[in-house]
Amino acid sequence: MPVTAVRTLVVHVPDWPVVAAGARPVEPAAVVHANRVVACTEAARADGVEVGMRRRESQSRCPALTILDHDPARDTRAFEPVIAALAGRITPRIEVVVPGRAAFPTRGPSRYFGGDTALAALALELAGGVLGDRAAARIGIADGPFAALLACRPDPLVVSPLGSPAFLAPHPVGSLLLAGVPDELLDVFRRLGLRTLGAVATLPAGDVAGRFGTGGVAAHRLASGRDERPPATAPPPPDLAARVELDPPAERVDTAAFVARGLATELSGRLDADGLACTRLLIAAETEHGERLERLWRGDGSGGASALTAGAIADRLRWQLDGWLNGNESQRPTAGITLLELVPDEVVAASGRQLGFWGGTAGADERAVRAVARVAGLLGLDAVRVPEWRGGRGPAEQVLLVPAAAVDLGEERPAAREPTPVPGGEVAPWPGSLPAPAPASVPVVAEAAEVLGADGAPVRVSGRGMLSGEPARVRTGAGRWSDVVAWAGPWPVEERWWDPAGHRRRARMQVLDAAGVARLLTLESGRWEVEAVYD
Amino acid sequence: MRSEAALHRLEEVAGRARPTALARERVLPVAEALAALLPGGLVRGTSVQVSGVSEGLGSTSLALALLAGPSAAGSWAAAVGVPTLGLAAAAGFGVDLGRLVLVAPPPPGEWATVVATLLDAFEVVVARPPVGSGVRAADGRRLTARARERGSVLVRVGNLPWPEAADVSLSVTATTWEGLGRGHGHLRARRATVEAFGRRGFTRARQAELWLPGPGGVLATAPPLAEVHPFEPTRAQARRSIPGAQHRVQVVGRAR
Repeated sequence: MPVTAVRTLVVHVPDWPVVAAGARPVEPAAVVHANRVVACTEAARADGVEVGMRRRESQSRCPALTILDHDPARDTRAFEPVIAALAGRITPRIEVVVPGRAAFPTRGPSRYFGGDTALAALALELAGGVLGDRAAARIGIADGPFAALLACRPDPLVVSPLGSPAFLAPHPVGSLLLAGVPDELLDVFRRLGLRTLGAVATLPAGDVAGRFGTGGVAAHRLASGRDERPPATAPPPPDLAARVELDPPAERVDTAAFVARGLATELSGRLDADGLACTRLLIAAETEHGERLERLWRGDGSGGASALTAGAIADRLRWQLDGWLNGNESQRPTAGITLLELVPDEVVAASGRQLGFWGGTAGADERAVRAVARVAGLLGLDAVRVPEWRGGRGPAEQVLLVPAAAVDLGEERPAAREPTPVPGGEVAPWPGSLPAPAPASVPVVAEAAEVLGADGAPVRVSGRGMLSGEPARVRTGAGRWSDVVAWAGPWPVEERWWDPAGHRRRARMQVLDAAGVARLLTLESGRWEVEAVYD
Repeated sequence: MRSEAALHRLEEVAGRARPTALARERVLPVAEALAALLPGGLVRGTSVQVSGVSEGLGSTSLALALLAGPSAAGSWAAAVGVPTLGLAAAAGFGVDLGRLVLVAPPPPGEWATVVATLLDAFEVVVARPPVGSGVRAADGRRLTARARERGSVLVRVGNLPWPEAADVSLSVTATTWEGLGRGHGHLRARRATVEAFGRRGFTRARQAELWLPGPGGVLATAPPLAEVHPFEPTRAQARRSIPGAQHRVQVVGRAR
């Protein structure tokens, strides 16, 4: 059987997002995105935090957990020195799948440096030199990137040529998740009794294709140690490359990223017209002074899912530029960026997407995403936000706004839907929360208010939650005084009494004045504030 | 005749096979409660002005109520320059938060460009003019033309005047809060009288009484006061409101 797998070296730094954020393995820390844990340190894992867990659950398992926010640009920027070190010394054809994992073919470098073992040791030394004691890099060499990823060890493991099937056999079926095989398929394998990759590999290929389709065939190939890529692909025709010249040169990432979006859409359109999808892409940026940064990016996922969409291409271009322009002092370019180029390195036949008639819902999603990108380019990434349910007592805490660039607007977002009761149960309310209806106007910065009793003295709330007098007049800021017609409260809330930094004691009241305006007032540390207006 | 019968059958089959949402349909659905004010729904390409007699009397809730119909039916909505929008209230009215995008107030020079970009892609755009400078005549015309061309609805909020009158004007003229007593109860519901008048299709102003919001935060029509029955909340709504707010005190707060 001809060996079609390309012998690959994979450099893997586990839990890269937390390493890039600066957390050490001994401190419990986790990077959270869209309310779920994306990566966590060793210490957090020892306490029971797992990837994919919800934020509150992880905090309940590990109260000392530091929560870090998800920033792919920071991850790429921090990984750039590692890539640069390897690319400079060993080979420029190094491709990045996700920040934290990089791979390159070993045929040439292995011969040059005197064997696989020597190459692995050199790669470990280079990566270790850049990372220092922040993290330990793992190196693995095997036929094909999937086997090499499983072979990654702190002490480099070299799987002998043609030895991949034997090496892969004892691994559990769940390792296919790393290659992007969907969890449902692996679940079916487990329920059929196939618990190791070796068991999957013993199935006849034809039967697997008949029962599971192309997804199953891809998983079968991976489990057998054969590479997933089709054997001999001709390089894609050169006119598929897309380039744009920036005049005046772009000094900041924002300007270049805005152009990048259009460039990515153009490339995607050209590929679509030819019925192709790109799985590996070369992104190159050149400055006025001739400095050039080229990186190979591979889509993560398997089969058709590993194709890079226009959004994914634009993201990677933005991360690469961010890593270059805001990265290490010694490697920063000395002039603005004048040329951006996207060259598809590896293409596969596209499986296509079925859009609704006349655009339909998928079309509306895409239009919305494009408009969001354009507005974000005009006003900045933080100016466009989307709501997500967080849960809380006050009106300002229940729904949080996250930047639209951080979520995938085209996909279904469970975080945007109100928490639904579990089957057979109820949604547990927050103790001390306000009853429905919620106020329609919640100021970003609470405005000061004054509440006076009938005797003209300010109204206070005692430690036991008793009002010092009936409120008679109220005004907000420097406005006019209004008579109080009705009120309710005070509803005292003491939050986080165990945390000296987060301890808050306040009392809430609903007040309706003679003008017909109903407000939610909060008394904290002796000052009244308008928390919300029932506009 | 045979050809006539065949033609009828063909029309019937075509009617059944038509996709459920034609992109070129002329109206966006509105919530049932607003059906009396906007019979037929929101005409695509028009602009709606939402106001209250004075600050804090329900104009934001009315804007959210207007958003609820199209949003629940699947349209994307955007709000520009309204950073104080209460999102839990929006969810209570039925706005789908998964298809709502909020844009921070842009600098006055870029406001028109941002709103125009949003009108291209979002079917409903809620916009507040930039504080201090208002809307320029050229910008106002350009935005109206863009909305008409794209079939989007521009909902104008805020008290600053626009150069052109909107196609429809909705305003809250009177409100009555229920549930709050002197030292007890809590705000349960608000009856609002909403007036609608406009240019096309309005021979005279239309008026309706709404629960804005009703108990549990939902939007509903309010029966006329003459035949008042206690509002029977559904079980889900009853669970959410505090049991024990027994005193239904009618507090009348009229707009000055």
